[in-house]
Amino acid sequence: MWRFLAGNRAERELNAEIEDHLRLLAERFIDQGLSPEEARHAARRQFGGIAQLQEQHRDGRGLPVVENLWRDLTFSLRMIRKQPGFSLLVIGILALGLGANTAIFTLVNGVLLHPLPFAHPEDLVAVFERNVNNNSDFDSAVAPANYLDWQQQTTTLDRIAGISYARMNLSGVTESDRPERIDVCACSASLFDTLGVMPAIGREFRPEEDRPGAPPVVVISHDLWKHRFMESPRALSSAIKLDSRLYTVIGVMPPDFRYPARSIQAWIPIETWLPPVVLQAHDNHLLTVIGRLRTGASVEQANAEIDGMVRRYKSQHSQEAIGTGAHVVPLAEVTVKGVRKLLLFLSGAVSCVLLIACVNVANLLLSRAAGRQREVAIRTALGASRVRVVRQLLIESVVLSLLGGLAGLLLGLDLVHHLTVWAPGATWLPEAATTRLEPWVFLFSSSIALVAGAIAGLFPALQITSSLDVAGNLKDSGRSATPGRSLSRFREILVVAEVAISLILLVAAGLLIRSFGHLVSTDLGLPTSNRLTMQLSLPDARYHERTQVSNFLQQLTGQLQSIPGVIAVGLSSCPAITLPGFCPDSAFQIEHGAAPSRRPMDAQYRGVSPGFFHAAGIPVLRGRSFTPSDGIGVDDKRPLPGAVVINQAFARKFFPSEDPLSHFIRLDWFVGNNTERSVLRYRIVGISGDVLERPQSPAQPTFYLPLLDGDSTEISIILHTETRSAAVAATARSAIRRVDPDLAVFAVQSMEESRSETTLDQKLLMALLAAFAGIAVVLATVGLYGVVSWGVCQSAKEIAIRIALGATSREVHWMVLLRGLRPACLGIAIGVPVAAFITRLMRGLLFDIGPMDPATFAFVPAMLLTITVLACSVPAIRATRVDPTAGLRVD
Amino acid sequence: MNGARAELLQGTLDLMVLKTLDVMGPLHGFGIARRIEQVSENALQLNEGTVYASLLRLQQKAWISAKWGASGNNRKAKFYAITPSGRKQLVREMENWDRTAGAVGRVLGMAAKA
Repeated sequence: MWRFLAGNRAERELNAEIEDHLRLLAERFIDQGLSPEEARHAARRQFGGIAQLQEQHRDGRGLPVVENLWRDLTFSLRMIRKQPGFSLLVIGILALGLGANTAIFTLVNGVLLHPLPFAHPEDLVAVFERNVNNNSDFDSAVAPANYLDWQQQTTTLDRIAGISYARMNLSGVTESDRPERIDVCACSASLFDTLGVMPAIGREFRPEEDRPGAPPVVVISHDLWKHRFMESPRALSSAIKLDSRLYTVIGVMPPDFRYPARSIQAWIPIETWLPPVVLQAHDNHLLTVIGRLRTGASVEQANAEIDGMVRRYKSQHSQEAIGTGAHVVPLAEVTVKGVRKLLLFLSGAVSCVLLIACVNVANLLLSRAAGRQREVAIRTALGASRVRVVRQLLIESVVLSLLGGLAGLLLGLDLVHHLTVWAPGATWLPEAATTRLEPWVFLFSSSIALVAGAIAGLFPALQITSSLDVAGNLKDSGRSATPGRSLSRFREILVVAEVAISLILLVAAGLLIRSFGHLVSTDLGLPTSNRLTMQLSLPDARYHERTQVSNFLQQLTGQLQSIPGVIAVGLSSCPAITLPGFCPDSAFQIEHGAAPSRRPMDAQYRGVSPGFFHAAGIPVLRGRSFTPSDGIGVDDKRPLPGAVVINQAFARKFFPSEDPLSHFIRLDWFVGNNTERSVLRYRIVGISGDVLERPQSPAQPTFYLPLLDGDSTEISIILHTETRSAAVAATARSAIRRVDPDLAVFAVQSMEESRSETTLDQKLLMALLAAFAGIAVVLATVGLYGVVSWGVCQSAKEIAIRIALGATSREVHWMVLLRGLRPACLGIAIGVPVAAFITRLMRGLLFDIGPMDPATFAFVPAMLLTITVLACSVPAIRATRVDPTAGLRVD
Repeated sequence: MNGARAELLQGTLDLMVLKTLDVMGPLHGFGIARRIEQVSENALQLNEGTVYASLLRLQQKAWISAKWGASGNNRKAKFYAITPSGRKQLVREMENWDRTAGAVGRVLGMAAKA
């Protein structure tokens, strides 16, 4: 501010000096006999240019930049207000480009840059067992006994925690409380300490509370505290029931704590939850293990240490189904795995959109700049230097861009919000909480807006000032016979760039759309139409005997079967279509003759009811399905051979050269409410068709056990109905209520919905990229149209002369069309090889089509050419209507 | 446009302003213009505004300093004076001028003989 005042004072002084000088000169002329009027003029003449002197004075002063910036800024705002339509168009285009970038950066920021909202996240690691059951080089979950070994022996990890999840029925102490299903995390007492997060209210687990038989305690989420306890501090030391067991609430976590999943509502000590026999197992792989590196220890050291422990154990117990080693990786890497490539790809795509927006705005600014050449010429003649004019034009575009950036910021945040609502389950969307305005996002948005404005404004500014012939432009009426050649050449280059970039985006979007089409049309091995699914969970308190479960299932089947419109009823321990890893797997052995195979093997399994294969539409290809008597009367004390159905993948993998039917497999399982282990024998009675978990991965080897043995209390229902009627759901609920009125039914959805859930990530990616490509094409079309119609306007005189000399309207039409087709074809010619190069990087994102898919590469250029012709035909038609005499009369 | 001539004129104007201030002591802009007019015997066509441009340039290079004072008829005016570094510059510039002028003169003289 002081500088402004000082500047003004210096300027006033200079003006006073000049006035004095002029007055003294005039007095001299009066002495020589001139009239006062003539003397004043003569003095002015002798003195010369005052404005230039003032300008030089300002530029030469210490720091004129700030003052000039201020002047340019206010001038820019005046120019922007003067042409509201143009300004809004530019702001709108930039808002689209910047909004898309803000949205994707919000995801990148939330998912990639800040994956772990914990203290010193770089010290956090995840530990896996490697290569369990020689099951390829696969990172596997950790058996509890191995985790306990590591906990005692590790010197590289400061703290280590084991985690498992369960869905539990939550009910209050009083019977009137409404029961609900919540996700619970069973974790070691060290979890919160490892992550470095303490409960917001109350305390964390004490080590002695994480021992078998300790009185059950629970830490609850902020959400649960809010909706179950109305945020009352009396929640502490009150009790809740999880799966009919009483837990004392000892703490409430902070609102943003969501580890290990956003759905978790409560944490309980793992050793009070897992049965002791499971805790002692080295072959039951169920724990996620995380740790915090000791200060100074590296991931490699931890990896070497724990890998060594597992190798030593394996060498002593080669028969046990345990990993041949361990794998320690940074925790952040685990959480962003698979998402990184996708988000980087999307970032690339939105950068292209922004680039196109910039090119478009540059084009718009150019066309306006052409109209402003006279203004610029006048300003130059009045003493503005080229730097000054360029700066002025740049500031104008940056101001426009910043306004566009502001609009884009709002647009982007809104987009992310809609995405989280539209596809809440997509793995690469950050928590809803991170969609609020983060400082990094704001910083990012404003800086790209600044850069975009500079890029979009610099070229037009340089272009219009470069060929600055002051006198020529002042004389020129502004409409010459042919437009400035370099200007139209430059605008053509911009259009080439726009077309090329749109082509790349369109090809990428086209590939994803085709790939998604393949994804959703792939036969998963079972029909999805007219199938309704739902789930329920039987509380252990009332269903701890196998016979209780078995009886319930038989009654349930009968009740559901009697619903009008239901063709078949199937029950299973795990939904027919799930995300990979959702269904449990188990180690087993195959009997060859009397002796079991030496090698431990592993496969996924489901318990299913006799009607399951029929209801789900999975064919039984050989042998038989289950009968109502399979599984009935299983006794843990005196196990009898049961029946098992395997799928084709199982048969291929484990019986490559023999007929699997009538072979026996052995399961070494926990029985009798998980208190002891027992070996169960099953005879293979049938082979079913394969069901794909997702189209992208091959069928998992799976065996089906009779559900009626009452082993599972998690029940999935599948109803094959006559029509696609949603009304059946309500009838089914009341049928279930008739069997057991206290059961909560959840996840009621059609098979189509379950299926589309498994492709949610791909759907979202495709939709986003299609939207970006759409924006790009619209912008490119606008750019093309703008250049061609501008060209027609500028060369109206030339066209008029041609018509006057006898050119047919067809020839004029072609002349204009060619003007658009030339840059479009060049853009396509450049874009195709670049796209071919870029799509190779998409290999992992595509399903069942190559990155060089000929259909896409043929369709996209054809589409762009069609759009070009359409965009050019309006100005072309206008050109044919140019009045030949009017053109000659002008000037 | 006519950059080369302006350049030459500019350089020489600065030199003349410095010399004037060196000889005459502190002067205001009007006085400098009059002195140059008088000494050059009206041979130079001078836009007097350029004197101020020259004064600004010289001030920025700290070869002259400016101070407000009272002029002959007791009006407030800005007086310019040469600084020690300006004096050094003047010596350098005059040697330079002599060399250039001598060289140009010799060349022109030779051309006249041929």
